[in-house]
Amino acid sequence: MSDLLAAFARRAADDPFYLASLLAEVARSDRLDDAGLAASLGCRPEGLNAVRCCRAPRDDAAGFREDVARVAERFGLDRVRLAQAVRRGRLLRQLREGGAGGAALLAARDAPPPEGPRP
Amino acid sequence: MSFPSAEEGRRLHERLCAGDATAPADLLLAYLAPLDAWLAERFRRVDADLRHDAALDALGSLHKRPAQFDPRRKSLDGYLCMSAAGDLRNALRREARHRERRRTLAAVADPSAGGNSLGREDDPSFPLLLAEAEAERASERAAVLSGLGPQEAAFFDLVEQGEWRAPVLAAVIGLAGRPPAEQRREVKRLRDRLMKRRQRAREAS
Repeated sequence: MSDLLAAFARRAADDPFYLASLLAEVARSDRLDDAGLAASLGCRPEGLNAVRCCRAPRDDAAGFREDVARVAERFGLDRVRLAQAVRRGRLLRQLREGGAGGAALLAARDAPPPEGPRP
Repeated sequence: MSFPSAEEGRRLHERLCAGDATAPADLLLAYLAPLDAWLAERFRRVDADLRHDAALDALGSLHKRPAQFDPRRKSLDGYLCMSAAGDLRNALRREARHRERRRTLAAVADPSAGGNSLGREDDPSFPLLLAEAEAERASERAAVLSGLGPQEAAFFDLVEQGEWRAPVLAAVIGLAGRPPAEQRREVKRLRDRLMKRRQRAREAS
């Protein structure tokens, strides 16, 4: 069963419908293996594939909160860490798919605040 | 490895339809192993990877299109079995066509081989798998229904297609006007009898 669930989770990593696709972005960016990803979400590695097979949280704020809370509660994750991972996964995907526009977005996001006195 | 109850299936389907984010994972946790076991039993000679793929395809399809399943017509496990078996038969047909094309191309490229010098990867028995699986099923059906009448045959076919509702099954065996308790009792009795026959047929094959 765990092998089959792992097989489904691997498929899901390439499908934006599933949470797996967002978690895969984070794992790739941070070079995390399953144990590292599980630790970053506050769950046990053996529960990670089930988490990956959940639907990706909705985009609207209320739907996002509800979906993240539901997944966190069902699989015993840290809700705040899961929400952060989902947001990061979305951003990373946007950057990866956005090409030059994505790079500009990243640069703007990471740019230091302007120096000098404020009016 | 048994399927969840019909009631659990209905609840999971409702959660999928409602967009519950955890429902796809819970559907997999509840149905993936029994569905894979069912395919292994039904398509014993088919490559395990093809069977696994069919189970994953059926469940993944339901995740995204839960409305394709109508709980008023069939149980969820019956629906998933039908869907996965259909996917598997299609995969076998595709594979058979693909291998036949490769065999033909190989024969054209090397006429001296005459199509007979096939490597292991072009195992000529593969195109027979589908026919074998279907023949196996037909043989099993004949063994189960041996000595029984057309009503029992229709009942068995409906159960095999995932029908679980007692009034529907009772009507097939001529008990449409009977009280519900009697219908449930008689449907259970016949279903148990047919499943025992099927088990014996499988053990004998």
